[in-house]
Amino acid sequence: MRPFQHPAWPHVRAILIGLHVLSLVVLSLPDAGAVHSRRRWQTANARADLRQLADRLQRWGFDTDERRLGRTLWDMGTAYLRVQQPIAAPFRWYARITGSRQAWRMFASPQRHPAELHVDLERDGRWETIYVPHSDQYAWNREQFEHNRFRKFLGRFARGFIPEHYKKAARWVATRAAVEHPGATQVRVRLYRYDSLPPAKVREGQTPHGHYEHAKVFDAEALR
Amino acid sequence: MKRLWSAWVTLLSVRELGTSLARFRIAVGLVILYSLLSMIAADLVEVMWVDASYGGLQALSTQHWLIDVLGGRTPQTAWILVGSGLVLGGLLVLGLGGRLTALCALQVYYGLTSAKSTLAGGYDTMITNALWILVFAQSTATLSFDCRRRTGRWTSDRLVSAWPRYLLILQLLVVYGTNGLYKLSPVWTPGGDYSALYWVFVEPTWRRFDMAWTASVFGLTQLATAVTWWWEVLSPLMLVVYWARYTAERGGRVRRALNRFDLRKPWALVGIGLHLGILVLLNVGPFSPISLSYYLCLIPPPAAPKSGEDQSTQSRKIDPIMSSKPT
Repeated sequence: MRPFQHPAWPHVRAILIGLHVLSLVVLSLPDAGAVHSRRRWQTANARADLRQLADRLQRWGFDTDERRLGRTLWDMGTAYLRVQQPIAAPFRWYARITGSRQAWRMFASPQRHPAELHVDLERDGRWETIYVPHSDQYAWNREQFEHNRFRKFLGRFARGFIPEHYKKAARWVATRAAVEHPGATQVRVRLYRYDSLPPAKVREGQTPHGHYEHAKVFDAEALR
Repeated sequence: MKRLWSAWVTLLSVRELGTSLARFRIAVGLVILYSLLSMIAADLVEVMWVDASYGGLQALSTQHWLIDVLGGRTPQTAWILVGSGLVLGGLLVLGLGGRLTALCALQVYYGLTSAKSTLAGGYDTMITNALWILVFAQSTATLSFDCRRRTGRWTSDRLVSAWPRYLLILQLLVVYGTNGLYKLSPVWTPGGDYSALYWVFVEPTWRRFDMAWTASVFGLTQLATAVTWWWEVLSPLMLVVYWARYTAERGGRVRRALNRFDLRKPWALVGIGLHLGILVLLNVGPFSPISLSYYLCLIPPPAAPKSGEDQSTQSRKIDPIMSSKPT
């Protein structure tokens, strides 16, 4: 008798599929990265969310404020993870081996304080901009930068800045710019951070104004 | 408990024509081709999938066994995997190689996209999840070269297990349900101003073009935000709808009310509208195409004809859960 024709097979299969379903559900619930990431909690976005949430709860008659609500949520997260982590642990290796991971937080807290990557060159003692996202005027290397994977990667610097990732990315961008612009003496890579404008201000014709941060200047010759 | 277990085993023993799973396989193959070709077109293979020590953008993980076997995240490894991925994506579309093709495609695509979490997206996970289920599905039973070789025809009445399709539908419901739960920001949830989609539209990371015009249709974006959030959060309730259809013969007021209208259709229509909207307005790569591929599993295959090709070894049942009318 072939194994799949054995009378026990439908039961064995039902157990295996049941475990897969369990893995799917358990691993799709928020994990430590979503609940207890201090880097995420400290972003301008998360702070704004907390502020709005505290305001809302106050309107509904709860005695709380941003600080107390933050502490309560953090403690709730700790209690939740105490239960979630041991339950999820046995399924993690299965998901890692099979590629059936579950982590779904698309657009969970839309970015209201974006950071754009800007690239400048110094030529003949003067700085000139060569790349600004969505600009037809400063469109150097846009095929790469505006591919969805690159955009997403760059967008993460506003979401939770990881210095090591930024350092490597800035160096890679500067190297490419230096090689493709032989006349350049320096390359500057910066993040332009601004607050997205609410609809009323956009309707008034205002445009966002921000500031530069994490500027990295490279000697072009050394990169070539 | 015994009755529940028996119902579970019976549900997983359902067999049906392989048309829906075959369509899904073809769609997943096309999405893989698109995902890989877009990387080649943007000249990003050696940027994203090669380690910084070999000229890539970031330091990458070498945990996947294939990377180890191929000698690390080098340009050569990246191109071997991309080339193999293209061939395997093509084979999935053509339906050649059965489950082995799906298994190899999974290893190759997972090997590539597990390079670094910050260089991957939710769509990569949806693709690998799809491939893992396809490993267990007889997705080349029809509409495939395998079928042509086996029967001399492109289509076949051969019955296949329906549970892989059920799992794919469940996957879709879980994705939406948990996505809704993650969206606890005040800009998404009731009591807030439902401004989430407006902020998504004006963010430089996602928008395809200048979306400042959405400020003048803010009310519409609020409505779309509310519909999206409620639709996502309530998606797991579709399981109740499916259950009501599966057990329609038991009767009861709630069951009859749920079965009066085919609630799966408006649910699917909202989802398709949402993904088409994302496709047009936002640049999220293969996210909408792979999501819509899962929707193909919502379309039940035609009822099996009375004299199927290989019904001798299995009890032949018409899929009672996903058929167009409750039984």
